[in-house]
Amino acid sequence: MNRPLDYLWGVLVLLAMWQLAAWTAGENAIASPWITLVALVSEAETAKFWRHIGASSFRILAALCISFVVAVPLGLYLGSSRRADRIARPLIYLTYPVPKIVFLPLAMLIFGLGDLSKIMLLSIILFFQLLITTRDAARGVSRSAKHSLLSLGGNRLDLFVHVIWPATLPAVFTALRIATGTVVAVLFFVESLGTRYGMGFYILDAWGRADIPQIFVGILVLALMGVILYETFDVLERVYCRWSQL
Amino acid sequence: MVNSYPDLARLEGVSKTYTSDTGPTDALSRISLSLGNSETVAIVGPSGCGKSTLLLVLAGLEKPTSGSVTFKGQKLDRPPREAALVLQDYGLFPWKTVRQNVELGLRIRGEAADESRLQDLLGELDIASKIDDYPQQLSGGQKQRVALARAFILNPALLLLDEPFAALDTLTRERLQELLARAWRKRGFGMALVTHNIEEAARLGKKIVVMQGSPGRISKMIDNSMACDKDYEESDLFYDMCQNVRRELEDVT
Repeated sequence: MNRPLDYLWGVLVLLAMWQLAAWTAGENAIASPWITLVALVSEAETAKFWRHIGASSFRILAALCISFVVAVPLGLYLGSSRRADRIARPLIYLTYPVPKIVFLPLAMLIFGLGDLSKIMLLSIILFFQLLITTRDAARGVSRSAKHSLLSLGGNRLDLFVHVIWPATLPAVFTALRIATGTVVAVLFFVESLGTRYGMGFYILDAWGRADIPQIFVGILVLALMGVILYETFDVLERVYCRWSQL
Repeated sequence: MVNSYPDLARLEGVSKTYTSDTGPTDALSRISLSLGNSETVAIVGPSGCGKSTLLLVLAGLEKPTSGSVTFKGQKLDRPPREAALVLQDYGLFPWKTVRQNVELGLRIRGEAADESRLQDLLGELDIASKIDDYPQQLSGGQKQRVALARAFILNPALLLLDEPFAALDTLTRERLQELLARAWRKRGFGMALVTHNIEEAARLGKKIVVMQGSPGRISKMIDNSMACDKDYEESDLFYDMCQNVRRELEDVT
């Protein structure tokens, strides 16, 4: 983390609000930060807890990788080819608004009860967010930038490498950050069925046992996973898009 | 049209029609124009008369709907290696440093950049100290100097400029006009310059092409052989030329 003071401020505000909510609602509804921390330390000593984290992390990273590899090149292509975009647009716009989470039972029928069905569903949800943002960013690359490159003797590959890809990269990082929020939220649902590992299952299991501190441990871990991903994307953006931070 | 220069680029009966959802738009109509080696042509005309389209056709970036374009006697079907384009918005890539922007053309062509030549060129254009800066860290004038450096390093036979100094303040614009005239005297490239600025056209165009719009066509060619000469703009002839171009523009606007 490169902004510890910013985080300190955010964490203090959050802890204060959390503590206030715990006092107001009572410990039977909301575990206080201290009780959650104690439960977290206790849980961290068990291998099963880390297996839950490992299962969720694997699903998130796999879904991010698959959707990135498929959606970003396709978005770049659609953004730079009007004809291809015209053909693909109706299909995208018809399928994008459909709530993909309802396909979870179907995905489990097709891909089985294991990780594959969950990863595929997460990937499909992320695919659209990455695709549309990347396509729009690629479409927004100015004509003059393209003309400049072509007038220097560049071909279509040069255009992608030197213009469209670098111009689109900041938007890709924005899409990844938005996708991170979505993937962590959706993870809870996809891990509620057909698995015994993952933070989604962990929270539901704790809920079934009315173990309030463990529910909050699960929520805290999901939040930390999100923070780690956000920070990773921030660092990568600072490295690869230094120019956009000036 | 009689031209004392050997042909560098030639347009014969070039028309360009754009087709969109709202129907066809004629941007250029039967333009014939030749540009000799080391000749400079300034293209002026009202907004929307097709000046920039004409330049893009010359650059090989727009294909004419009819007519022919040749560069050094060869049919032009893609941007020629010996031409360089400089745009009003500089056309620099914000994700590349000054060095990377300037060297990009060479890299794309698989040529190595000579460090001493690069330093000399940046020194000549007064941007040597900015070599590791990104375009966002430069002023408008400095950005246009980088764009010129990127063009000059390719040793172009033809330099195409689309309102290159339009976004700059008066003093910076005049300095860059002088810098361009000096570069032309030193390098002797052919030059086609699109501009809205009458003084700029008179200062830099040995031939001034006055265009009129709807569709874009050539209204008048004015010979201006003293353009790019030192101290030309101090003379009465320069003043008379500006008045002449102004009258022609008023007729077509």
